[in-house]
Amino acid sequence: MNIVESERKLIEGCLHSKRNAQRQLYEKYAQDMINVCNRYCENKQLAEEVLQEGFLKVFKNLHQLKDHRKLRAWIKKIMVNTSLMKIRENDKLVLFDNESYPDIRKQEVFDDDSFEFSRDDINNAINEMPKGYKVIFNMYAVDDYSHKQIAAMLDISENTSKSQLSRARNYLKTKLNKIKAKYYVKTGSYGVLVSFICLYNQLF
Amino acid sequence: MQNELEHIDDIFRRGVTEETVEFKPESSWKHIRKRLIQNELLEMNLANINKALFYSVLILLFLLTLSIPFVITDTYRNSNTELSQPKQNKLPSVHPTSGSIVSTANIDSENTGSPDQELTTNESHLESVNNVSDQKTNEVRHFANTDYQPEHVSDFTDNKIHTCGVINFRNSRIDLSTYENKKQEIIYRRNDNHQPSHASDKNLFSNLNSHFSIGIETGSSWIVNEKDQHLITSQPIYDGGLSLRYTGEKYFVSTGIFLNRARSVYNTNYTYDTLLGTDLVTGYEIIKVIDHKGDTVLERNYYSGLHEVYDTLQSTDKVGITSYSTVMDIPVSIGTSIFRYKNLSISACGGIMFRLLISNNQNYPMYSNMNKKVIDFENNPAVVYEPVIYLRAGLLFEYKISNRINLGLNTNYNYKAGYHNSLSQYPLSFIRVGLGVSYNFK
Repeated sequence: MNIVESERKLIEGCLHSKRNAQRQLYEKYAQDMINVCNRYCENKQLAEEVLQEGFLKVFKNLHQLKDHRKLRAWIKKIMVNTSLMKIRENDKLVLFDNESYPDIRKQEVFDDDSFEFSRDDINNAINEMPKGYKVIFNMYAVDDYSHKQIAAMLDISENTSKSQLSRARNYLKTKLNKIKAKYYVKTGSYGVLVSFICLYNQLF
Repeated sequence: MQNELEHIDDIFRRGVTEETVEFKPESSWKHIRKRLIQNELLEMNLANINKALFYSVLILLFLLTLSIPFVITDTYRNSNTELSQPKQNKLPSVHPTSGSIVSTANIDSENTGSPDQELTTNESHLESVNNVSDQKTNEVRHFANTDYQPEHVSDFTDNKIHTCGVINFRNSRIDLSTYENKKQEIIYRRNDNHQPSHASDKNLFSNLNSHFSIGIETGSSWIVNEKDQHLITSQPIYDGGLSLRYTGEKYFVSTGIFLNRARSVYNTNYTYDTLLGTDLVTGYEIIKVIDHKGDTVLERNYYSGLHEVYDTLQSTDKVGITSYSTVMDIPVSIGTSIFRYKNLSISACGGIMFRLLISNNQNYPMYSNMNKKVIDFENNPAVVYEPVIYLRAGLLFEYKISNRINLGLNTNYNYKAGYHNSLSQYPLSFIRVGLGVSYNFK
């Protein structure tokens, strides 16, 4: 039995409220979906709550799924929607303009492709990102939503979605450039020191 | 430019997707499974439920509910009415052994006022009343050879088991005394120590952990199937009070104190003697007199007095006795949430309720101006001071206004457990609807 066929049987079992089938479906997608929820939620506990509510919606509305081959994408969409609802329930989603962050230049230049950022550097930069930027960045860059879809889901205009994405990118670029600059200063200082020591040895 | 954008997007994508959350799927599955079961029960979806077990439990619950009135019996059952039958004449009710006064009647024997003047009985506390028997009148009647019926004595002593009580607020206890056993029973107020269970998971409705709530509530009650022909209660009966609740992970326990005041009218037959008139009766008394010689001699002292003459045939008529009773309800219930949607929650709850009489005022019509002397009432209102237990079950609708404040609508059906006296001020069953506001403590 191929994967598609097994998934079809799983869906059928869930439609008939078979607990075993529901559990299998949950265990198959739980880990991936918790990662999705964690990208939107501010902490793990909230992400788990979203996961539980999301799967309840999945089981409740599974009959609406037309193509069983799109099950994963459909579940992911439910998780994203539930995450957004939870965020807005707990705290209003605030979209920032550049005036709130004066150190972020409007058009930051970022052209060093060869520089390898560490995982920690990237995570720190992303974690410091404001919630509004992070949500839109996630929806566009990771979950492949269009600006039109983002606007509909967040109840904003398309232009707002585009401008917020642009600002989010600038924010990340600024943070990464600072990390780069610190690295070069450290490296440069080290290089100067090494050169001085070599010269000293040669002279004396 | 486009490359730069893709590059930054790629960095972001890498940063968020490479991070994997440490996660135990089992704990979340438990919550999901629980909610699935709740939803399936609400939708009557029995796909995952053992049908034989489900229907067996339903039948068992139905049979248990039917058998409750027959299983629980009251140990103070009496063939007559349960408690004090207030006397209609001038003598107070006297405890046959201790001599303490149980119930009293303050009588205005010089009733020359309007025909609407009524006799009031205050039974909320003990008080002593002097014996108003008139020795001279008795002697006059005796010498006049009038066929005078003896004073009607309270039939306390005829009761096999007689219990009454009063709430002593100062010492926080209920004092009961039983005549048969001639002993004092002290019942101390219940002191429940609830140990809240440890809840590790959040309450999804209120986004709070296990917590206490306190609230105020007011309600209305309607008596169901009031079969007693003698008792007509003004409805609805309004009440108000405080409620206290502990909400745990799965269940909540609630209690409270509520006060309500009800007005009831007892329609009953009564017997009376008709006053025919008054008669001047002469009589004498033997007195000792010292004569002029210094000797003590017995002499007769003649005097006369008015004596009421009644018809020897007793008559009957109907009358309504108005009773105002204030009771205190102490419910103890346990419940669980059965439905949640956004800020709305519906819970099912059940338990028991203790009802205690605080005070009772009864107004008896006075007939002296109508040439009537009341002998007895066929059905006296039974005043029950002992706590009465009701079984209750119902639904609680709650709406979360904010994180700490809930608005609640409480509906429940109450059924009296044990022996039911049809003349008691407590109804057999009633429905109560209450509206309240509660505050959650974290």
